[in-house]
Amino acid sequence: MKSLYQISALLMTLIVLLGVGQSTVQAQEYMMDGMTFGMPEAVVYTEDYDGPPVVGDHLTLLPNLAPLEYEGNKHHEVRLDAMVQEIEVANGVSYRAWTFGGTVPGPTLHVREGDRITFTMKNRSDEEVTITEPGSEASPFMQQVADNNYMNAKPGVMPMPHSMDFHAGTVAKDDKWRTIAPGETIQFDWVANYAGTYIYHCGTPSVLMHTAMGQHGVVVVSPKEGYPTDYEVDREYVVVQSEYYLKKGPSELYQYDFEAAQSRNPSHVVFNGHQTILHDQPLEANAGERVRIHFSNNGPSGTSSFHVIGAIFDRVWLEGHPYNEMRGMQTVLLGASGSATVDFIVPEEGKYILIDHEFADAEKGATGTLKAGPRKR
Amino acid sequence: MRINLQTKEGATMKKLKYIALTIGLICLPMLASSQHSMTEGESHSDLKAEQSYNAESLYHMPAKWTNQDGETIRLADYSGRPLMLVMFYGQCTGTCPVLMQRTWKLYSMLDNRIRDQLQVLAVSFDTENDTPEALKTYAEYEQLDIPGWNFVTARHTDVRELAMLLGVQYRQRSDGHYEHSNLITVLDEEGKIAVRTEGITGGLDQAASEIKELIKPDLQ
Amino acid sequence: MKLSTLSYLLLPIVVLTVLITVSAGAQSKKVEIPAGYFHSVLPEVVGEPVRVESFFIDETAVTYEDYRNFLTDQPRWRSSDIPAIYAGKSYLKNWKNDLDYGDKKATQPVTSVSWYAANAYCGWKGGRLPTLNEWEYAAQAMEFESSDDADRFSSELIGWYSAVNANQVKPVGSSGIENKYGVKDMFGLIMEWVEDFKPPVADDLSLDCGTVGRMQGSSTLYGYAMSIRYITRMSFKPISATGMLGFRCAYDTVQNGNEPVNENQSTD
Repeated sequence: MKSLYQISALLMTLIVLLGVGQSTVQAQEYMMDGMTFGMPEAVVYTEDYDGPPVVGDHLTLLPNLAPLEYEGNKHHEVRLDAMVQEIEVANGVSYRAWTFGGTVPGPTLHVREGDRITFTMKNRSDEEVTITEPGSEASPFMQQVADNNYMNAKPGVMPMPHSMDFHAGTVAKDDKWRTIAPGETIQFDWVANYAGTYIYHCGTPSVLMHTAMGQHGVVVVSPKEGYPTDYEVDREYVVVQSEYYLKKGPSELYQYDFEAAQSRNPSHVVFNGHQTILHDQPLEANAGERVRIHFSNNGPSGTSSFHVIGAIFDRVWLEGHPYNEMRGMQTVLLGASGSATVDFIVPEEGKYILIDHEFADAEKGATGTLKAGPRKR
Repeated sequence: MRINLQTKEGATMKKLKYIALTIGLICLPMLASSQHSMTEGESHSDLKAEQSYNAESLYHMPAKWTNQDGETIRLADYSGRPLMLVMFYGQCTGTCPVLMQRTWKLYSMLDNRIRDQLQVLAVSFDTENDTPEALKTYAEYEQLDIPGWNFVTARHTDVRELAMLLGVQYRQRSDGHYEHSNLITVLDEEGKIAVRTEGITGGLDQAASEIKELIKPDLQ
Repeated sequence: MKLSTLSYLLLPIVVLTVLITVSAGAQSKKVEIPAGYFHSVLPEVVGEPVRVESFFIDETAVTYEDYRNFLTDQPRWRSSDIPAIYAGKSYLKNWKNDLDYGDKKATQPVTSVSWYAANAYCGWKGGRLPTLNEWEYAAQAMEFESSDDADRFSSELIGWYSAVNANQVKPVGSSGIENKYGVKDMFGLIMEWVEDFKPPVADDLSLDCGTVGRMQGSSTLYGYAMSIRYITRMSFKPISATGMLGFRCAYDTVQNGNEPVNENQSTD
């Protein structure tokens, strides 16, 4: 009997959304400068879904980037559920994070300029979701987490409203980026019109709290025609900088420190979500290789002066767009939600430190290691 | 002197301590007069109707409504016929008379055979003042004491529930008047929301033709 | 600043008599909240104190056992009978069956109830849900020795909003937080339904990045905590039900015809 009601509840919600709901102006798809605009209206519904929270072939765990094995453009079906995970962000410092997909930052989505994405997100903050047991439908991201649960993620329950804002998308935010209640699902389309590395984040107020609590990640949109050095690049990584504002709570767990967040005084500034992850699991390369890093400063509020100790950026594409090319840079200055794609040559065998050259940030954790082996050719 | 939760700075509070009495004396009459003027003008601010979040039959609603003749009505009594619903309150001198006349206008745009099928339920928010007697007086005064029209009230929580189901917003102000949405809803023969028309101005042709479609052809 | 102190000045003028009456049955006490003013964070009333008339409110939130009594008397609201119009699949999702909420929960606040169910429960009790303004006004009626203490409390409250564990809700009355009239746990235990949880300005606010800034009229720490609460409530639909969302009832001080439902006579 109850299941009958459940089915009818789902149908009911769909009907409401399609019919009774006061819909906004119907969008009409159109092209401008070779780009696609005018996406259909988002749908919000309830579903019984309890499958893998991350679905899509091109979603990976940082610092990995999924290869684009297809030619031309593709229509991606992507699911990234919002949920709570207790994670470690520094030695002995854990908190119940608000996440997309279970990690902070969330999974990295890789698409090509012009690709279309049908995005689905269920707000599962009111249920326990295990991210270390990938099912057959799951994204490569989930297998990577299962193999390497560095943050020691454990499910938690903290029902809150959430939303998704892809900076890589060009849409009306009051439709696509709208907030959904726990238990609701939203689905909408967007087209990756511009090449570059773009952050995504929860846009539900307090947006400072939601992003500081962990709801952010990046989309890498590779240019249609590529970057000029594509054929010379040996390694490609994604590194995301972000801040945590945490204080010890009543139990062992840490919790959000509003005053620190307001006064921009982070407890931790990190690469790829953890103070030591990029030292314990350094990026790898060999002397004489060309390494590319898609680097994003996800904030929420800090700036980053990204530098690699011992290397000079041979090429820098600000925001990752191939037209924004610069050469010979020691440091790239990035505001909150700014990014750059950088190429550098690894000069010799040894260790190279990735660092936010704003040393107050570096000493709160914004460093990582690139470990270079001997020259191979 | 104690500090409350929205006090920003203790220092300012202390300073104010000395003039508190004086200001208190000035403020009270000021507040009283500002409230008085609100009552007088009954400055009606209309609330936009919410989206309705349900597409199920409202005939599930168990509430008992009492009409202007003291009779008990349930929504399920209307099963098999379309029902026009409007929410108002009797002491309203702002938009309600216009809303009620608008409901009448929409009703009168339908031909007799449709009107024979269509029932009208005018539901009052004002559970305190809108007794059956008051509703009867109201219906007569507005010349809406016509067959098929019921003016009803119920328990506060039942009225709230119906408003939530329809997406009607209302709230009582401290002067006793209500701010509310101006929404006319028509349920189909199964009790599902089929037509919604909001506001107190604008054409009703579309709503009328939508209602017409709800009536089974064999009954027309 | 001038405006935000208004309520402070007026508060002592209001006669602060606390009347506590015990309602029939085992239900918790009702506490009278005298009329007064408070500051909302909604943009339409920023800076303007909002008047709230006197009303009664439950001392503590409705418990699992209270709710079970309601279900025993009102079968229509049991999980297996409730129409989809009133609740989704998350309604009472942690119950073993219709009338069995499992062990050790009797005195915990009931959660995973829809707005419709909470509204119906309060109607059954002869009351109603508190309005948003009533709830906020009562919650805010706390006094501190210094503004530092008030800020410390607000800061903890924000911390709590970021660290709730819906799997470990404590019994009612156990939060240690109490307003000056004796109403308990308005913070620190669960979030609570109010009658008009989505205030009319919700659409205009549209819940985006700027909303908190627009809400924080008083720019106190408490104002920030409040806006988080308002925003969370605004995101709900009436059939929403989460493990953190419960309720308590309010009652008019003047009779409004909302008599308790006779226990022997179902509304069916």
